[in-house]
Amino acid sequence: MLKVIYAVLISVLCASFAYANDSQPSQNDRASTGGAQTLDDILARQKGLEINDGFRRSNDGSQAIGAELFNQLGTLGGASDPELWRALRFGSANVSVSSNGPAASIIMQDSGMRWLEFRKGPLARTGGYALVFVLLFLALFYVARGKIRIDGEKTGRTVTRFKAVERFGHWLMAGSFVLLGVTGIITLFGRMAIIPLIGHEAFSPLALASKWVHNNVSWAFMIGLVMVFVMWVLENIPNRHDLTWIAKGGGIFKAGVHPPAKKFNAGQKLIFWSVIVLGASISVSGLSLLFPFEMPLFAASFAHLNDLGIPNMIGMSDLPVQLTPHQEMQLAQLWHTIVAFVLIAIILAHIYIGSVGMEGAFDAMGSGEVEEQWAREHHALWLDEIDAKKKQPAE
Amino acid sequence: MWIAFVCSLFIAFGADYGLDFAGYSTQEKTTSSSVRLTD
Repeated sequence: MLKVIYAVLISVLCASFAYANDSQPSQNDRASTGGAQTLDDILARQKGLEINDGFRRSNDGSQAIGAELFNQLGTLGGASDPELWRALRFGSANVSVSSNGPAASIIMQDSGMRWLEFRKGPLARTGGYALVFVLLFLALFYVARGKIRIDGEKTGRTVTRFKAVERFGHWLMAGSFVLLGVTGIITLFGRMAIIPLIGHEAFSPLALASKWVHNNVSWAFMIGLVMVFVMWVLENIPNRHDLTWIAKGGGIFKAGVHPPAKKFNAGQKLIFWSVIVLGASISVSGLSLLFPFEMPLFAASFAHLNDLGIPNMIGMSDLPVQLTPHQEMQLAQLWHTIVAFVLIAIILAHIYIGSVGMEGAFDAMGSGEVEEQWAREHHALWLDEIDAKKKQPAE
Repeated sequence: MWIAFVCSLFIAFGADYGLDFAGYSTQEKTTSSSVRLTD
């Protein structure tokens, strides 16, 4: 009987030892690193597991828990100085650097993570959805309205609408814009949407090429923008005919409605001024990004807005006027991206109406020659001016 | 249309070469600097 009791006792003891050995390992032992994180912490963080950060918060750099000086992962003999790092993070530290440059003395930037989270979160999401919405809207509009046809009978005669230099300026800008838009979208959405599809190895050359194209084709866009402005600004000044055109919806919504217009109707003038203003804005922010830290734009702009009282008018407090060089670059990137999304949305509609949306529209910028009946229906006042000029030499 | 497109590529190559010549490489280059903290 006693042997049985001894046997039971021994097995229970052995079992409890075994249980102790097989149980979860004891809490991550950070004594060897003097309270700093261990390899287990790093691996857990990489796997996306939650770790208890309490060891950091309570690690106040005291001598007692500091690691030996010769230990690689330990603090410097317990001499970690949270006040110094706090000052560096919030820009109040006294820093001297051996290399001169506007950003050289910034080691940490507090608002950097907020910018990154906004860029890959709300900015990308909202912009992406906006473009998808525009594409869907155009598709539905095409289904509902169809192609806007030339109502009357075609004459078979053509009128010169745009000369070669006008078409060149337009296509220089337009072709560049398409390249810039595509490469810009690759740059913004690459990490989130393209790498998961094609992997890092394939995306790397695509990203490098996109960056080269985006940085260098921008100059062609700016040249085209200036050309377009110089050529067409006078004919895009609003006049009283634009009010009539807008009142009749431009004839877009109902067949057989043809409000008169000169060389450019009100819709085209809206496109022109949007492209000029937003194009200039995107060019300036783009130049700021192309030459980092050399063209700060926002501190001065915010100061002007504060002076005009605009933030207060919309219920906001004054905008910050002390910005680190990195904040300037981050704001430039955000502004550049927002303007890009707006421009792409507008140009998608422009491409629609100039191609599938309207019969005879593409000829204007394709060959430069348009069917006379098309001109009669869509730009009657302009056609009258052309006819008057033709008759003048005869008289 | 295609002339303009080809021109935009010429301008792109020209801009890249020109900026590089002027010392403004638009591709990343490594720089080294040291930072000293003073209390």
